[in-house]
Amino acid sequence: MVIKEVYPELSKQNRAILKIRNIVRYVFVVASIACLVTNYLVKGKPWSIVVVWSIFTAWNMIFSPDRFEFNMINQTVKLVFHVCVLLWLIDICLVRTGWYKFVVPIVCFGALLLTAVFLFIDVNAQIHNSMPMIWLIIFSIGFVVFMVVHSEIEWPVIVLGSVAVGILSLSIFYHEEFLLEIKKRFHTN
Amino acid sequence: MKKKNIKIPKPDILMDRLKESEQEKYREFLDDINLHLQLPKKQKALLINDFNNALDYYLKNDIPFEEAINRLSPKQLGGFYAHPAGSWYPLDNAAIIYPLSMKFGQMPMFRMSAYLKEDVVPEILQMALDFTIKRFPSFATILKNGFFWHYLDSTKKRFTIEEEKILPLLPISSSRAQSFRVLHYKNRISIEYFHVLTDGFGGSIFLNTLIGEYLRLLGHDIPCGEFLWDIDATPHEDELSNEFAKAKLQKGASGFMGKTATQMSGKVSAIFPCRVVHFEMNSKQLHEVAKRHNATVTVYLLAQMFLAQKYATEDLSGDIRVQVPVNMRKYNGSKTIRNYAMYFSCDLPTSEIKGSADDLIPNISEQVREKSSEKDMNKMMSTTIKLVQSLKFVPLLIKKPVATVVYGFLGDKIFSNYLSNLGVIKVPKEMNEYVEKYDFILGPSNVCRASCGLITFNDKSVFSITKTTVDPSYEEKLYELLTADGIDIEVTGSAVYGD
Repeated sequence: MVIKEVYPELSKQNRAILKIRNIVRYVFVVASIACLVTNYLVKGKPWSIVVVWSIFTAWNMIFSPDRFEFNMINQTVKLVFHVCVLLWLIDICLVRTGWYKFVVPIVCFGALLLTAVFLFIDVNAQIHNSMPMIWLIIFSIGFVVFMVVHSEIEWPVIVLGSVAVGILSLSIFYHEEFLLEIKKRFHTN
Repeated sequence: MKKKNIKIPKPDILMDRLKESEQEKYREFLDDINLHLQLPKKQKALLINDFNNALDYYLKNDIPFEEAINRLSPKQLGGFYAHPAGSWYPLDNAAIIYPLSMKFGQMPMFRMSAYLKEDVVPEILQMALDFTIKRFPSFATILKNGFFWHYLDSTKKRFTIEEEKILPLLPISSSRAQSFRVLHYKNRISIEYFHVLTDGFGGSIFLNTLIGEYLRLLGHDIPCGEFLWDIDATPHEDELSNEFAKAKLQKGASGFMGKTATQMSGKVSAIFPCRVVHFEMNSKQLHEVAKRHNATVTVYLLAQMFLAQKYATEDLSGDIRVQVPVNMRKYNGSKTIRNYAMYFSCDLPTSEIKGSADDLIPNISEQVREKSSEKDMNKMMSTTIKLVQSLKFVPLLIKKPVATVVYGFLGDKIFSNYLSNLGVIKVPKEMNEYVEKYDFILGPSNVCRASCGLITFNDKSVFSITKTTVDPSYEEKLYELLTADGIDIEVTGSAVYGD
């Protein structure tokens, strides 16, 4: 059986990309397992959890990007989620001083401002991508409430609350679009 | 993100080639295009560039300016690029599983190609796509995460054609913001669809309509028809409906679960698909051979596939199971271009697969007749609907990992192979002389080593095999069986991509 080729030859670059992704995947899995085992054997602080989460973040953000909803707002919020969890893990696993309560709100209000810039630069197009930002606002308000109830309030928490409420109030000008967005996101088919 | 060099013929260059009276008309033409485009600057520039490229092509090919701007009338853009993106579509019940079950490096896709009798002109194909997309609003969408379900959100942009350089059916890059890919290579136009958009029927309508418009822009007189839509007509709600939502629920259940099936023995390649193989056959000859065996074409091919599958496996226990999709439109004449297909499974114990096709055909015929009956298909559809309804208030955050795990355990493992017969592609007779053949490729499976599709156009039937193992024994045996029955086959395909 002779097969007449009717498809273009795959470039070396394309072949390499496909292979590298598969290799990196296995390297990451092996590295994660090795860290967990080593940490278990040598005892001490659970540093391997921080390493595994960092590897997972790198995998998620660089080597296995989202197949859909790949836009600036979504990617920013996704990165912030990974970074906040990482900061929290560093604190509870290694530092244990509770500094995440100070750092996480700074990261969050920075991200809120950035996503707001992305949104308001081109509202008509970006309004369809705004839901991750709404989630971040909800998370931020929840975090502020948590801090008010359970901890001392420092300036980053106040700024975070102000920025979240500020962006929320700005969105009143686009309430119809936001409501449609929420209707789409919460549809039950 | 990689920036592409865009070939932009400057308006000045075009101006130099035009007479004074034509220059005025060209300015008016550009103004008219601008009126139809309410898009971000970059998208607008890309679309104007498409018009300039097409005009440039016409002028280089001695087509009079008047004729050229008539063919490229901006009226054909309609309001698509002038209206903000507002529409959205919940996924139909068949599409719901696709985004839930997606794994690393995979995307449920299928591909349809048409081979023209002359090489494709990219400038004209791009214009044809610019004009055609407005007729298919559910295709001008991207998939988004909802809280409970995914949905398709409309997007207003210039949809891009590409020269084919990559692996067939490679997942569509997330940065592209489109759910299908239009490719051209020599005389072939291919569309690769993310399965959430449509099924083979909808895919063939879009491909035919795009080619019809492409040929019209090249100056051929191609009328519209049932399977080649008028791009200036208003989309009808029936074309976009989720037919599952209209179905009457039946009592009784039809299970999706099953035991794992016997697979071919070849090692699964790291690259999907690792090869695509097409068997090009004369449709009359194929039909006659099937008739000689007292079988339909589908049953005859299934019988040969079972024999070839057994030859390609060393595991002689268990069942070989082939999934056969059924177009539900044949039962109610629906016009929807969303997913509207169910499937049945044709099973044979490996130990009973022996002898020739004639020994298997009575059993397979019986299974096809019974399992693809309207009653059975409706029962399966009802089960799908009930399953979706029972999960509708479960957040996606929970559904997604559960579905990925469940699908990972079962999913493709319950089948050994697939056979999707799209039947005969019907286009207006005026188009026949410009199109040579079609092919239809199913997306690769990470378990089943082969997935097969069949499509017929005029006197050519193309049976395509999407391979995920380098081991050639399956297609070689199938070729041997079919040629031994007197079928002349021309074999085409890709190089081996994987290892």
